Amino acid sequence: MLFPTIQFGIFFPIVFIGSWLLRPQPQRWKLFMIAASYVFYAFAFKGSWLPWATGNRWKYPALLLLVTVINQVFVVGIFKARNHVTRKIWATVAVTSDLGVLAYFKYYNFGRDNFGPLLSWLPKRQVILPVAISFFIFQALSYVIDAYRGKVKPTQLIDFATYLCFFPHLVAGPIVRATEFLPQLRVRPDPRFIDASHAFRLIVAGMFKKVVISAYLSHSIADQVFTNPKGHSGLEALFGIYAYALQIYADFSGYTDIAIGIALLLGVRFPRNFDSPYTATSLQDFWRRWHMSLSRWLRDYLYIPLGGSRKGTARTYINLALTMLIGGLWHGAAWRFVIWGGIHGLGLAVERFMNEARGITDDAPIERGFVPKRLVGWIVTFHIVCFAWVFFRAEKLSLAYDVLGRLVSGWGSPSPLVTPLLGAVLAIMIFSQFVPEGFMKMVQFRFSTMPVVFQGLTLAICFFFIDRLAPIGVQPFIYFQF
Amino acid sequence: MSETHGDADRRRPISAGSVAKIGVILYVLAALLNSSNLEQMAIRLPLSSPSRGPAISLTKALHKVSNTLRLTEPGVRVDAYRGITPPTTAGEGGAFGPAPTSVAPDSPPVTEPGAPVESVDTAVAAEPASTTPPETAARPATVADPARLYIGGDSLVQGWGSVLQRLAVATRVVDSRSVDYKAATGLSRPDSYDWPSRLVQQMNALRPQIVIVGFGGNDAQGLLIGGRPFQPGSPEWSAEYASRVGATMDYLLRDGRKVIWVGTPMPNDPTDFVRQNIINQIYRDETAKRAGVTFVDTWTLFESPDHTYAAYLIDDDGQAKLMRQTDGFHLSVPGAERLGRYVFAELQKELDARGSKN
Repeated sequence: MLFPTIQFGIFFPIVFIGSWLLRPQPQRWKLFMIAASYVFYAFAFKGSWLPWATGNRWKYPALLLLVTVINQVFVVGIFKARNHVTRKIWATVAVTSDLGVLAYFKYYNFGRDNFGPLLSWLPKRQVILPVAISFFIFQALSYVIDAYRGKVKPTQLIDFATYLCFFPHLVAGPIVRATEFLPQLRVRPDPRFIDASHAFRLIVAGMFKKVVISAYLSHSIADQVFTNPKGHSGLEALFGIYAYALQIYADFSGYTDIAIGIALLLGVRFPRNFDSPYTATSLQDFWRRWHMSLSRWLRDYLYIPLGGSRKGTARTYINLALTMLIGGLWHGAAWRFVIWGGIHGLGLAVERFMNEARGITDDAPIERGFVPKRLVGWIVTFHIVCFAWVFFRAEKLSLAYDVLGRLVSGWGSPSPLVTPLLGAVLAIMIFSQFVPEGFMKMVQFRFSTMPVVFQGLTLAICFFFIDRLAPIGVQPFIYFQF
Repeated sequence: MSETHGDADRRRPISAGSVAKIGVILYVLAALLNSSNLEQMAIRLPLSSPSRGPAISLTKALHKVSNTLRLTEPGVRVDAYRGITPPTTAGEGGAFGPAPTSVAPDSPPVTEPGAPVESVDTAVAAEPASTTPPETAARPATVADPARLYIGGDSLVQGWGSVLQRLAVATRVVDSRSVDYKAATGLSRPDSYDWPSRLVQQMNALRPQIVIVGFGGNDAQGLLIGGRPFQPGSPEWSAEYASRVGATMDYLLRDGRKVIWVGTPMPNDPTDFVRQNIINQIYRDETAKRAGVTFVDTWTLFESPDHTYAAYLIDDDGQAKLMRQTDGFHLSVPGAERLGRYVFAELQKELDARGSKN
């Protein structure tokens, strides 16, 4: 089920009312939320609604259930283990099985196609990648690893199931950790105190970014440039790249804004996932602002266990590059994602090397520097990020090279796709990143002081404009494929 | 980010009951303000959907109330500002406008390729079209005077159309700026997306000399004939779909255009297999009736050696490659490449026949 649809418009009020009515009875609330989340998930697949019928409608929700039960068994095993070796064995088996599930569904075809001599014995089969698998597997891993590290104790199966399938974060994040979600199940939120104005702001902004901005940028230029680079001028290629950079931001941050807002209306808080990423003045700064829940996950469960910066300079660079490469591969089983991760990994390593050479040990050296220096840092960072997006977006490597090639050789021909409206949308989207959060909070507070009737009226007008400015139909979210 | 406003950190939580009240106001007002769009969404539901009838009744009633309260006006004004005309009631099969008489086939495009085109009134009565193209000698395409190519159709076209466009542009004797695809569309449901009107717009705006289209992927669904729905496989359905395909071909043939009609590849689903077979047969039959149309049969292009559906096939480089997407119908990148090259071979034949030089 997609958020900006009539289906969800019918689904959510039912869940909202049911949720707050059942809040006084925690066990029933969890069962209700699990049922609602599985129905939400099943909407993503085709097939009969009858559980015993063939088709994918319940096949992948069943996989989610299996992952839930198995990981709960592993965590209980870790907790009950009498010595460190047994604990380690349980943890290793758990991590291996989770990664095995991910590898099978996500990388089977990639492995077979690219590592022929090694994996050619595998039978050919068309493996369907279930929506959300990368997200719920990463969340299950956080539960298992935190349990192994002693940060969480095994919770009841029903609590873990609620955490893993909770529909606002289920299909495209943010990646909420067990340590962030499970404690919220132990406190009963007060139905008299809902941070609704914040939730409404996130939902409206998210809808606008996804339904209007992302769709406009993809239709007006990005799709055309990336599917047929040679048919477009250098200027169109440049604007196509900028457009895609802002499209993916609008698409993904729009989705997670809606997810965070919806969770807030149900009394659950999620971590922030984006913090104006295109204001970043360095790559390190960018990764503190872009898909923050994945960045933190990779840092805590991959970079630090690899040794982080504790094992010498050379190992630090290797760990950085490796983390970003794996981060790239997490997005998809294709070389272009590996290159995308490689560009970021290399960029981070070079940045670190330059800082160390200049004796700068501060985490964010540029952010507090002189304005011209920050401006140069911003321009360079933005363009490295855009350069990497070319590989992320192009459906194959040759098309990525063609897009970049047009930047060199495509000047002089007409550029009908570069219009004043496109330029204005791109400029406004970039400018909006620099609007102080304090201003948005002030608007939000002023909204919350309005009578209920006017709040409803204001929201209706916002949704009216979103609907009117949107193209027909709903574009799938880019991050659903990951 | 610095906090510069006194109200910034102040929160004013409200109760679940108040949220529900806001929700009710939001839903009622938003539904009334967007009643015309909701009605269109209901109309676009599949004919076989049990919720279509009730949804249409409900949204029509809503639209009536909205009209009475004059709440449809803001929507009309916003649409007018954006240059969008109110939705017209396309005929059951859509309608092609009369043949343009004052514009020579080889005159330049009215607008730049890729630029927005003017809307065309779809309610214009269809003019009976000749089944043979006018005797217009096809000019050779040259670098100085390239042949204008239009590529359009449903979501399947997005992949192979892009490959075809890339290859066509590389010849330097073909001018093609975009692939005009629209997902989840076809010739079955002009009430959902009016391809006849779209084609009229595009032909008038771009003045292509060669047209390559692909439909059918979404057409295996009920058709409204005389207000009654008929399902694929029935004689009424086949006759109606064939007449729509024929009318589309006739329109595209006007002004001496060359038409290349691309069929659908073999699907994995058994029901779709039967239905797509019917659709492809209609394409073959209608093509055979008309000079100037070439049918590109893609049915067997993606079949296994034992003539069944194949997800993997040996590509030109000798490697086994995944050709289809997980839905068992759409093409993967190698699949789109394969079909795009196949269609390009047909285009190349046409260019050669014109004596084109690059």
